[in-house]
Amino acid sequence: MNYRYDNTFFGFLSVVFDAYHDGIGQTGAISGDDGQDLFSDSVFVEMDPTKAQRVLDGLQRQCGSKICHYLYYAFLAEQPQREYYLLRFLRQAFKQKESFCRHLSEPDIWKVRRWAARTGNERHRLLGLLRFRELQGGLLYGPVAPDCCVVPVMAPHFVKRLPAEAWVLHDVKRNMGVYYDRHSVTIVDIPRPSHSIILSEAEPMFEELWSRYYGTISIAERANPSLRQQFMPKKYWPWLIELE
Amino acid sequence: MEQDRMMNKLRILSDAAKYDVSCSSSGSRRQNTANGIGNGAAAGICHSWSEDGRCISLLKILMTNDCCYDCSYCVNRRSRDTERATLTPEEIAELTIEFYRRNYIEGLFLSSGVYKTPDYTTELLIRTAHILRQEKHFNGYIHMKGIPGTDERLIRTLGSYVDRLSINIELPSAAGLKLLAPQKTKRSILQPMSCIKEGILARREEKKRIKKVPSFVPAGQTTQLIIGATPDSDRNILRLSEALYRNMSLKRVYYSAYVPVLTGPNLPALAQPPLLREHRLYQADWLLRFYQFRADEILTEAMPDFDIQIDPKACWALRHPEQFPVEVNRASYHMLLRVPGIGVTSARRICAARREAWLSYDTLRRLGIVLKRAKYFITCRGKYYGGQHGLERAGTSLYLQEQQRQYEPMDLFSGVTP
Repeated sequence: MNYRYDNTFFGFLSVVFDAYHDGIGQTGAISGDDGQDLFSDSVFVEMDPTKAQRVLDGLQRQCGSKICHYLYYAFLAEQPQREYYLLRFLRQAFKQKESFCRHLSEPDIWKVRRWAARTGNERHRLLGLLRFRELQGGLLYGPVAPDCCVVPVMAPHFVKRLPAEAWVLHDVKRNMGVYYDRHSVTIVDIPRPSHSIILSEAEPMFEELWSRYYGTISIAERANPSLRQQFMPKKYWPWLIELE
Repeated sequence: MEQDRMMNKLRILSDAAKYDVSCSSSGSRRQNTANGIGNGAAAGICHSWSEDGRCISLLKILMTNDCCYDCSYCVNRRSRDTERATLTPEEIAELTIEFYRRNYIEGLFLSSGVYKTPDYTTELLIRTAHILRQEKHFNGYIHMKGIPGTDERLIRTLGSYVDRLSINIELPSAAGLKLLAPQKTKRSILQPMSCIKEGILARREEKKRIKKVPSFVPAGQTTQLIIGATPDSDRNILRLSEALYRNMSLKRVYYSAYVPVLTGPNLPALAQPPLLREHRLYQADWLLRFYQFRADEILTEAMPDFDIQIDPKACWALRHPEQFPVEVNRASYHMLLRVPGIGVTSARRICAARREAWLSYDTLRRLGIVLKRAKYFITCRGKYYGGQHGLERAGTSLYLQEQQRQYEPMDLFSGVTP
């Protein structure tokens, strides 16, 4: 049986739930819903939070929360054939239960862990490299274009850090974002803006101050641009105020 | 805030602060409060990297460069003709908050020239910390400098606000201090340092008995040594670091290659900052802290300076061929750490994996252990993989590998002449 789903993590878990229900041995391809219907016989699975939660609870109970973490972060890495490898990962996890943690160096599992590390690393790096710009009205606007879908997992960090501010993390690549209104966070779709953003009055001054600070803090005698680029790859530069 | 005036102050005062190398924001788990802004990230977060490749994680700035001391190595010395500026505690607090909420920085690193007296300067630092913590409810990272010669009570007050305190030793010997910084003495530096240490220890004891105690320098204290401004040998410097780690329980000792921006009768004439020497000192520092080495093992009396061509751990291994090769399946964790090419992570992985099964050379590779250098110093189930010449050739290969690394384009030290 082939499945399609809505590209969300919970949607994928709902597929996993149905696949177990229909007989896991017969599972064919699982694909995201990107408009193309590759297999005429594929079934579209509606995202169902209760189904997803049951899979997740089962995994956490049997294998521990670390495995859940790997699964979620590896999913967010958006690697080719992620559904195929993550289903294999899950099947092996449910088969081996608590001993699964000791099989993490096997090639397929290692691959999932590498994906998870990829998301984790990019998340950590962007927690530092994200820049908020204050818009008129005081909203903080942080645009990023990450390789992995890290914006949802970055949000809790800023909820703890800036609870009294309203802010948006905008994933420009995926046209989505996380909006925080001083009380709760929501995942929102952000279509291409029809008009350009309007900065607050004080914003240009602080951006200028920061750029100036960035310029003077470097020691000219120790210049080493390649080392800088190693830490701060060029792909992030368009969003960095100090490097404009 | 007036933009031009602020711009000018920021330029002068960040320019004067840049020779302080510490910029870590790790070690503090300070939680945010209900109406506050900011929190500590225990692992630290880097927010940018400047053109010299050093990370920027804190707003590193001097409160004033109007210093009454005349230390010859320092760019802010009294006798130097340079622009002077002073930021008020209110200005620093506002700048910190505005930078912080835009996610430019992880917190504040505030240092200062000695304005009027050490006590007066420290009072201004305390005032800044007070505004940030109490009025602005800022819970992000704050690193401040202890000024040598400050009263103990003031140091203790400052410590209750900040996450990290550091008092820079700068010159690694009393003789150097006398020559280049005549107004500072060894005592005036070490006394506040031990005051901080006692404060941290006392708070740790209290914590065992009382659930919630106010924090005192939760991220510990650090110091900085300048390399190359005085004729001290590497061995002296390393032994000093070891003593500081052991007796003062410091978190870090930073080494800063002396950048020859000034000239003076007592200052050495260097063409370039000794960056490679600084790098070797950092490597040795890591050996002290994480690899269970002692300073006397790394540098002996017969060999008081580093071999610049090769890293200190490989150097030790080559001097002690009688210890190698070690059998990875039996060697202790302590001995694994001493194998060139095997670090803390690899050694831990080996120890965990060999509990399940015998380790072969291929298993090591699959564990992600880099064998390029390690292969000369280990055996796997009795078999040696370092070629027929064994340890005798190891030295030559290691030197060659190191040289290749130095000439690679993605090099740590592209500014260094070898």
